[in-house]
Amino acid sequence: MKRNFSVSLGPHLRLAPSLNKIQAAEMISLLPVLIPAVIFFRLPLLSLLTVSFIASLAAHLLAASLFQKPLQVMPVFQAALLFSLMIPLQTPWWAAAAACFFMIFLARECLGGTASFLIHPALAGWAFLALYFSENSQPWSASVLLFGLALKDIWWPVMAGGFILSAAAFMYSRRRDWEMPLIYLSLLLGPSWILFKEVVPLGWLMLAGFCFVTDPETTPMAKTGKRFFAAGAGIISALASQFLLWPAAFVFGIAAMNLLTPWLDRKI
Amino acid sequence: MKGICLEGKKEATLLVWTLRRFDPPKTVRLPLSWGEGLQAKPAVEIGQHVQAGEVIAQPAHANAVAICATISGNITAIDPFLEIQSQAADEKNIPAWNQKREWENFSKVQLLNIFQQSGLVDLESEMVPVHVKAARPVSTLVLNACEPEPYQTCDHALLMSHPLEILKGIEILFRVLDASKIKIITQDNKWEVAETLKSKIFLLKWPHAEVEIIPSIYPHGKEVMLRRRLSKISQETFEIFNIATAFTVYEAVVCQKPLIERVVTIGGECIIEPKNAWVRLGTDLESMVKMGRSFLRPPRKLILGGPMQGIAQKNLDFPLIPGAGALIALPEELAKPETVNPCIRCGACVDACPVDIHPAMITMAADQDLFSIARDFGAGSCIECGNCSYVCPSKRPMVELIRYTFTSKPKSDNHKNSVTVTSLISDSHRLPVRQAGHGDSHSMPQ
Repeated sequence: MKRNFSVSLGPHLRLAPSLNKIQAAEMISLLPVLIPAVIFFRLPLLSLLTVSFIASLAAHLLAASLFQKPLQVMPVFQAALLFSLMIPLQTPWWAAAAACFFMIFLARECLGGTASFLIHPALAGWAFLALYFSENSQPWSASVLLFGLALKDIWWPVMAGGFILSAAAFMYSRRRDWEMPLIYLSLLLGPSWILFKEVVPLGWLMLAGFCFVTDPETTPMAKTGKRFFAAGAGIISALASQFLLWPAAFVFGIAAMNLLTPWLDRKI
Repeated sequence: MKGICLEGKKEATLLVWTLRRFDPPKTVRLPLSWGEGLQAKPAVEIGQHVQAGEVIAQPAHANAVAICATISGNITAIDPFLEIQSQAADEKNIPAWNQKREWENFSKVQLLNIFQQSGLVDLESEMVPVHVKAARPVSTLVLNACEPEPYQTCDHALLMSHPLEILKGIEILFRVLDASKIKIITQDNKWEVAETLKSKIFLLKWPHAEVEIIPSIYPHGKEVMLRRRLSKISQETFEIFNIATAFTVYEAVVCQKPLIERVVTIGGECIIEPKNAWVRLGTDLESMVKMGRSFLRPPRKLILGGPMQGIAQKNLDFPLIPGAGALIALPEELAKPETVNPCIRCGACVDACPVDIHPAMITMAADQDLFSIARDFGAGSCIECGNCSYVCPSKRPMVELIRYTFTSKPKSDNHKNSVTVTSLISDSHRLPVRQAGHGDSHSMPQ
């Protein structure tokens, strides 16, 4: 009986979920927010999503051919989806497309692609758009969807429920514990409510607390580093809200800690 | 307690605790060297007839052990394997080893000599000679009855079928080590083992013995983890032996039977009849597969040892060595090579690492030959348990990369010193994205 078997170092068993499945599960986690939002906002949101997806995919394909890297479509679509939820619905299509191209090509792929970038691409795209509009003195407001201010009575609880469901599904699909969102939200909401008497927008809170703070690619790997990250992001966001509008304060707090992630990984 | 909960998959071989003893194989091959420091010098010539149990190679130095013939027959080769082929007449001439001797009056030196001449090694993957381990007096004798790897149940079955013999072996080791305490450690998925040992210890009236149950979390239960744990909780000196080693000690000292066979789990999804059986050392894997009534379907991988730390075999020619407690045949769906993706920094490996090192950063550094950074993140403390590779969603060969930090030299010191973690992360796009089958140098023909 002459046979040749596969030979490799141990372990010879692997845990089942692969990267693609986890990334697909993360996309599905956003459906409880996306479905009611599309039903309510209809064409403006759909067109924004379409433009974001197409521009992001084009940027990714260009980068993949230029840098000769394998295609990783799921994280690109996820960044595009998060970006679409973060920006105002009245954003011109060309501005959204330019921001998507910036966030995927420059902020993601040029810095090395998967897990090599320093700031979450969706945050980088939002910052690009915010800077552009502030320079051109055009009307710029935060996403109506995330503020939930303009929603009619019946839609507000639906969207809030969607955000909570999405947050739970995100945590499950990323196999993260509740420590990071808990630290982040308590350190953000505590000073905001008690000291500054501010109302923090629910949509942004969910997005920042559960999507960006738990994002594996831009946050520290070790447990202590994660705690520092969440605490730092919460405190910086709360303090920044005294000088900046809410979306900018959120973005500033998380992006600042994103930049500190390599240092946290090394030192803590 | 950091680690991972593995699916045990032990039920198939624990349906019966009876250990089957098959006819000895026609040919055995015994390696003259069982690893570093375990060399032996042949004491026979080609063509010479030997009896099972007879010393055929003498220890090359004081820390090595003798090799005993595991079957009766003629020597047909010597180097690198001592090969014995049995004749028709030899099959009826099997020694019984049923004459028991009194051992209580033996001195420690005599007992250590018996261990060495009987070829006793600890039946763990490291295969440290028993006379070396038992030479230094300690205050606590620790017996490892954990078996944390999936499928493997050989110690479990041996303990349930020969508990008194094992306790006798423990008594001998206890005397040799001049210990004051016995600690038998098992896991919480072996309650019947714990209860059997407790009841026997109660009947024997051993006030100095205790059974400790630890959670069945991999790799807790491996000797290296027990050693770390015991060093943390107590300042007392201790020595750890596998529970099956105690049985071989009993056989060598009381029955005068050297180490010629051991209990092996023959299992995995591809084996028709998984079982625990007595197998002569040096038996080829093909004969062992036949003990499990051959393959139900073609396996993708054949592993000597447990599926987490065992050694994958290329073919069925390799002989059984004392440190291998299992032969596992894994099917295509469990052992197929998967596409390797770049690290997404999820930190699952960091959470699963039992020795608190940073596998993700080590492997990123290893990918770029940055060994000083790999060492900074604790590469030297890796016990190669495989947890990081097991949980990695990107299916990265973490153990291979961590081992690479030890086996390779850095490209240049200047490059090494100028690197920071930031550059390491921003450079990680250079990590080679290995395609399916990384490390799989051989594949099974269809």
